[in-house]
Amino acid sequence: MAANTIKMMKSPIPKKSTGSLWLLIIFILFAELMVYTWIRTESTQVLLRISKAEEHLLEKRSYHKTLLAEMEWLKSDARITRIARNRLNLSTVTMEQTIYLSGEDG
Amino acid sequence: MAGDFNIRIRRRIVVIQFLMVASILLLCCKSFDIQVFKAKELSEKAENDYSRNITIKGERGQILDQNMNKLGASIDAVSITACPAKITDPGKTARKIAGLLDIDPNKLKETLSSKRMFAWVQRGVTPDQAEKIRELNIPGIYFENDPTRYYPNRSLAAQVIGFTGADDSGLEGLECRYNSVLEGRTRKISLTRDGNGRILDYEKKRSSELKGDSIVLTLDKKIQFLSEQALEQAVTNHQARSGMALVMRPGTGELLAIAHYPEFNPNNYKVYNREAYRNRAVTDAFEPGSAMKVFTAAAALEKGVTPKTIIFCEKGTYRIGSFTIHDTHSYEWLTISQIIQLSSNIGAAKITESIGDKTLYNCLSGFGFGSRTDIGITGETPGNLIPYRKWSKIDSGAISFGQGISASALQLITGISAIANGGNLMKPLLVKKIISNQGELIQEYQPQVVRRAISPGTAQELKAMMNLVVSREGTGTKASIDGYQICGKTGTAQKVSEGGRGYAKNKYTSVFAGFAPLENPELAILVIVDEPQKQYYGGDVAAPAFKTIMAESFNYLNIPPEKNNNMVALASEGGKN
Repeated sequence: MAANTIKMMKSPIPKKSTGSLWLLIIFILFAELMVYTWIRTESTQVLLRISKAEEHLLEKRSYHKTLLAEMEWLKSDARITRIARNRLNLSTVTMEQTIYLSGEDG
Repeated sequence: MAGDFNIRIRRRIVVIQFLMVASILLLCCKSFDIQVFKAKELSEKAENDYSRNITIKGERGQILDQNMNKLGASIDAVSITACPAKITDPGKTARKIAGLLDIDPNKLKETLSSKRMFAWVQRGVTPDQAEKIRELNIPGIYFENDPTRYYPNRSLAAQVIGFTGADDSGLEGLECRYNSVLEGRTRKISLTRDGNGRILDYEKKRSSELKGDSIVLTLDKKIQFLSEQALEQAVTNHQARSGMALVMRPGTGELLAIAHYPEFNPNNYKVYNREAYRNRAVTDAFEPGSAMKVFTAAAALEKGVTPKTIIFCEKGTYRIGSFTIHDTHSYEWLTISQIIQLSSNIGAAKITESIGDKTLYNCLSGFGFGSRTDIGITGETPGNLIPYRKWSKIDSGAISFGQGISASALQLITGISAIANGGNLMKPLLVKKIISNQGELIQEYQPQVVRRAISPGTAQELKAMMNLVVSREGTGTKASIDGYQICGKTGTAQKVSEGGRGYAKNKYTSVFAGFAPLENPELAILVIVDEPQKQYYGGDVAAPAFKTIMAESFNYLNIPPEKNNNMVALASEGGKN
């Protein structure tokens, strides 16, 4: 009777253990799948963000180049001379505007 | 009863198990088929959908003046491209885009109807047009930053710099000559896109290391501008056809300015006549007229004739064979110095008679006439100096005063510079150095003496003669600048008639060539005005422009006057313009 009781108590234990093991394996696999998916998604998102930042950087560089070229035009002699003459009514420095005083005359 | 039920359940389980195993086996087979047998085909299809192979090109190198100011630079213009294979309705897309870009919709439809993976829609569109098309959000239409050449100083030195075409390749001027140096390098890259067409590896498009090398010129932007301004004034004041002005440092042969009028804007070159593109200072030869007399005098001095040797100038008319040559005034006895000062044609012809054709020819060849300077500009003319053995009597007479010989403006300024620097013919220098995109020096061009054209003694005597030209009695008084000793020579050449026989009436080339200060010449300047109306003497037309360029350049370069060391300069409050 005692032996039978022991048998009855022992037999369900392995069944429970196998089910849990399977459950654990499935959980691990599912978790791995989820983590993998999450990493892939995050990686793609980061790639996109980097790519977007690079694009932004290239756009800014391009704009900077355009601004440098524009600056060259803004400081060009032709433009400055035209503004000086037409808007500010200035004249070009000529040799006649320099008076030379002889040292001998004091 | 219960036993039957159990048996049925078991059978069902077996069937389901069988079906599941069969399904798994089928899946395995399909998977094997996809991954092994169809792998290549499918990966190519995926590549086509998500990857795009493109060739990127580095930006074109810059063209800089000697102070590193940008004369030609590249900026990014937006270009619209398409992947026709991804465009579902080419007709509708073409209509939408063509309306905004003002292009032919049928032609665009044809382009978009192909099954290619890449096609240009329009290059170099305005930011406004690009934005409007971007807002349409059409799948298969992309926007690229396409480098485009931009000349911030517009027409400044346009004939020297040249311009590039739609594919960013040099078409004219230095842009064409130095295309291989300036051109950016190319690289093939593969860009990956996600399902929405967004690029995942944009960093591959970085092309800074592919940028072309830059060239640094000897030109000085400020002196170039001053020269162009003075030249424009001379040409418009005298209603002339065109003009040229060159500024050179006599000691080194560096060209500080090469000005042309009429000018053109290389940013919009298509609206100008092709004639305007040419660097005429290098490509075109002209008869220099009396400016050549200094070289005739140089030949005489080298032969041993002194500046005080007197020559009878036949009272203004002299017959050579069947031709008669004239002076503007009637002269009798003139020294060699006076012949230069008063610009006597008869005197110059008689100098040649006394020294011989061969001596004159050798001297002119020594100054570089009749051969290219090898400045490195495409289409350079050697001019025309006939071998002396083929000269007729009138040829030797005419060549002595600058008719019957042709030279480029570059040859003439180089020859004048040789007198200024004491007799050394320098190789003209336009490109100073080539630098890499990182700013490292790749190649530097040093001043180079071609040969000794005349002795230092002869050069000194010629300088004194040329100084007399701008004196009160000379023909070039309008070139004199208070405080500086200027040396120069006027020239007025009749132009050959359009038929090529004889000289045209009332068509002249006015020339003034000179340098200053006398003792230590800093600048040599040549001004040429083509076909001026009413006034046509070099001393009236070209000399004032020479004076303006020289005076303003001295002002800019801080070259002080040399008349009296005790003089103190004070800026007056006002002044004449």
